[in-house]
Amino acid sequence: MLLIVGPPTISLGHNKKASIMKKVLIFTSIMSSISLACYGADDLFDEGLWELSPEELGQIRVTSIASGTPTPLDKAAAVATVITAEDIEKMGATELDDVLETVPGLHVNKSFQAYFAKYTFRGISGSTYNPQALLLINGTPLTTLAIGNRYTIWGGMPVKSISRIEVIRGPGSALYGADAFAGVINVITKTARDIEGTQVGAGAGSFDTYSSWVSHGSKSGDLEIGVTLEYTDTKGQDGTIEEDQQSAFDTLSGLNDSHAPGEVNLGRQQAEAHLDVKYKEFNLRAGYQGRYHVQTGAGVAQALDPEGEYKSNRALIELLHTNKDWFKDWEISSQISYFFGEQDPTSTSVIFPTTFGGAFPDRVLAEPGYKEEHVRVQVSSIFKGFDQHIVRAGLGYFWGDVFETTELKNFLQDPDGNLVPNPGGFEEFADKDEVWLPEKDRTSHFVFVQDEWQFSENWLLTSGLRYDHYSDFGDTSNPRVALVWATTDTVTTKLLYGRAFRAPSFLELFAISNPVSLGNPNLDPETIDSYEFAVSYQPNNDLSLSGNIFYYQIHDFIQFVDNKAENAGKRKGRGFEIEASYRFNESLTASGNYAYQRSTDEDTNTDVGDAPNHQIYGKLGYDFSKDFFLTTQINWIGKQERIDGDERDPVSSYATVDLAVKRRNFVPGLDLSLSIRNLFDKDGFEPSPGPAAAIPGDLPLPGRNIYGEIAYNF
Amino acid sequence: MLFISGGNAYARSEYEIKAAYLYNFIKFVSWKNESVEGAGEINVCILGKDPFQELIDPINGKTIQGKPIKLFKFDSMTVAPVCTVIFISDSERKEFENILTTPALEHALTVSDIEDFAKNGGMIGFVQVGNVIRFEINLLSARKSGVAISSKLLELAQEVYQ
Repeated sequence: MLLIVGPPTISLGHNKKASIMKKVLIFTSIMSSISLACYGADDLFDEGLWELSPEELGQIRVTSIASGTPTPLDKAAAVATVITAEDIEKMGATELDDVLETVPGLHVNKSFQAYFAKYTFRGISGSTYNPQALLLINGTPLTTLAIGNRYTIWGGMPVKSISRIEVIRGPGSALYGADAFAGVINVITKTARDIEGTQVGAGAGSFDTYSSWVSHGSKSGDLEIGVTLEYTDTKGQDGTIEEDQQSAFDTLSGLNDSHAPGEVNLGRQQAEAHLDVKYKEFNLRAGYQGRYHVQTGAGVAQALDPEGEYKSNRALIELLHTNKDWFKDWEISSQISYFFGEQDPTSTSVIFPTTFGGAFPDRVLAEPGYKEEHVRVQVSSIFKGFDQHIVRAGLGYFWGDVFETTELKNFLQDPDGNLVPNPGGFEEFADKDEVWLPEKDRTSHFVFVQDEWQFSENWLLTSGLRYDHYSDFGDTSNPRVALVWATTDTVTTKLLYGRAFRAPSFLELFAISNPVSLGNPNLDPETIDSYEFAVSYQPNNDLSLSGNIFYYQIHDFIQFVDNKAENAGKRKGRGFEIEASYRFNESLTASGNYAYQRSTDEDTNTDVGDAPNHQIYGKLGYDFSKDFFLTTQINWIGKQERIDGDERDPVSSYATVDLAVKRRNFVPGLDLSLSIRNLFDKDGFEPSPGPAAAIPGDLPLPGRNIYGEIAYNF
Repeated sequence: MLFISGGNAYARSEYEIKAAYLYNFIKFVSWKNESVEGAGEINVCILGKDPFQELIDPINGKTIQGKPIKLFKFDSMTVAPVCTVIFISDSERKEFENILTTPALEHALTVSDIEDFAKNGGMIGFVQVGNVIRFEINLLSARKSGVAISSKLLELAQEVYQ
């Protein structure tokens, strides 16, 4: 299945898959040693929090993503970031991915397929579908069982329903289980408590983008209801691809069938709905993400295709119950959730816009689709009966099913992976060996325990262990330890260790349709061991500095060796991240971060590629009044090395500058905002796959674009 | 992304923030009852399983408007002194509505992080809003006990029940 399988497997005899697995062992180790210039005054400010006003206290951010317990950010048992709805509003972002790009050490790469986001933490790249990053909505994973991404027809996510985004860099499997490998992103949607009254709004911008939304929050007695509905229609950015896979075929055939040079096809419609109902101890959540008429980006097989379109529907319903009274000192939470997701073509994909000399009279066509269901049942408890300890334990069960894997296509693949015409023409291959993925299901169960032990006033030790059993690949146990030391009132030091795993996708386990990228039912999960040392320094309310250094080792990285998925790769990564924020006065604030990583393939000792080694982000915010904000940000992405065997020059660094202005209560109740992204219209590219590049000139990013919004609050 | 608008102080835990709030509340409250207003000290009580542990201890001996604060921790109202301010622990969740009616708390400022504390008759209830800790105020309960809460605090409240 071409939509699902990466480009190196698409070959037509003359374009043989390069052997990227023959590695030479050379070893040099470069361990960065970093001194963080942020140690300083000892107890100069020992009055600490006592001197703060209630207003200031109300602005200290806490996060629970690291351990489950609300903890101030600098004391969290992980390197964590929190971004609030207000931050998002001020920076003028309209897409989740634009917001995530501001997180240090996280770069949002793009797939050539529909430009779906690849969340690359700390240089952990290298899988076609980016399964090493875990994206949660309200704690529930969106990862597809089939291929391990968040649907190729992810279609982005608008931001109006988002209350906050919490991100941990580094592993989180001890708490979150599978795929909390390189990092965890938890998107928390708004509840009645985040929405006051009713807001309606509409926006318009470049690339024929139109959006509208309504949000409503109400409380009556014990019943609280929050709901957000959003709809966006866009033609998408219009960057140009100079040469694509078809261009290479054209060179051989002398024909001119390619759409390149041509624009990427990124049209899409998004419908997003989130409902949160609370009644006493019960919480019902429902979410829906509909993506319609989603075009294929740079094409399903890296040949531009203005015709192909897909839809994706995702729906999640969850019921949660929390009880504190059943047993003394115990808080018990139960959760049951049902998820349905599907991805299906609505207009046939033209895989290659050529007849190959008449062999494919209608060109090479495909219509792949699939559906998934997930059921989760979880019970977790918090026990506070021991002094100085908060103990968490829980267990859960998961059932997931991939069904209706369908594929209409007019080609087959020979034993070398070459496309040959299907004798029956354009046919449905559901339930046959030739379908891109057989229908499969998986069950798993887990048990975890975590202890937060405040063993002295200034020391907190968080340790945890989670055991998972999977019906397909077996068992895995993942520990973590976090030691947090309030060194002084202004300095916090942390030492973190964690192990995580990434469950193989069904494609990696079971695919049999493509003879040059066969699944392997004997795969083990990928594992990572990660070590971090972090320091933060907050001498006063206006200045905050923090930094960390990290080192990780990845084992059993899944790669295709001799046409089959194998646990073949070993990697090492190291780097550091520095963050600073400073408030000059009531109006002016500045913040920024710098991230460095170097990740190497241990077999070749080369950079793993497809990720920036350096990233810089800076933001300047000016509040003219409590209702009038101006924000500008710069995002610099350093050059991105190629994967081993790809002879192209690295992807060039690029920088974008954005400007956003927001005026609340322009007239009472009426809010206006305007944002310009990529103000200086700079070219930027994300890497196209290698080593034999079908799109030699990489994937273009949007040029200057503008977006305006008007909202009314009732 | 680490831009943090405004207060960006260091804290060890959720309860260090709540302890600092508790101290702050006293500054923004006055008591109409003469015996409370005329007393030489401010009795801060922690009732039930103490979530603060030593984090609240520095409050002991601090002075507000010339009056020293005295900190008391106890498990049952039957042994409680007259409290100027009381923090009711979440461990008293099932009992708090009865606790609020005890004579020793007749003029006390009542604070808790029990869910819907302010809504159900307490004066100041902590709530977590997004990723910050805020509070709700029940003005009616405060007025009944002769506790006057400054408008500054009311402005900052997430919700004010009248």
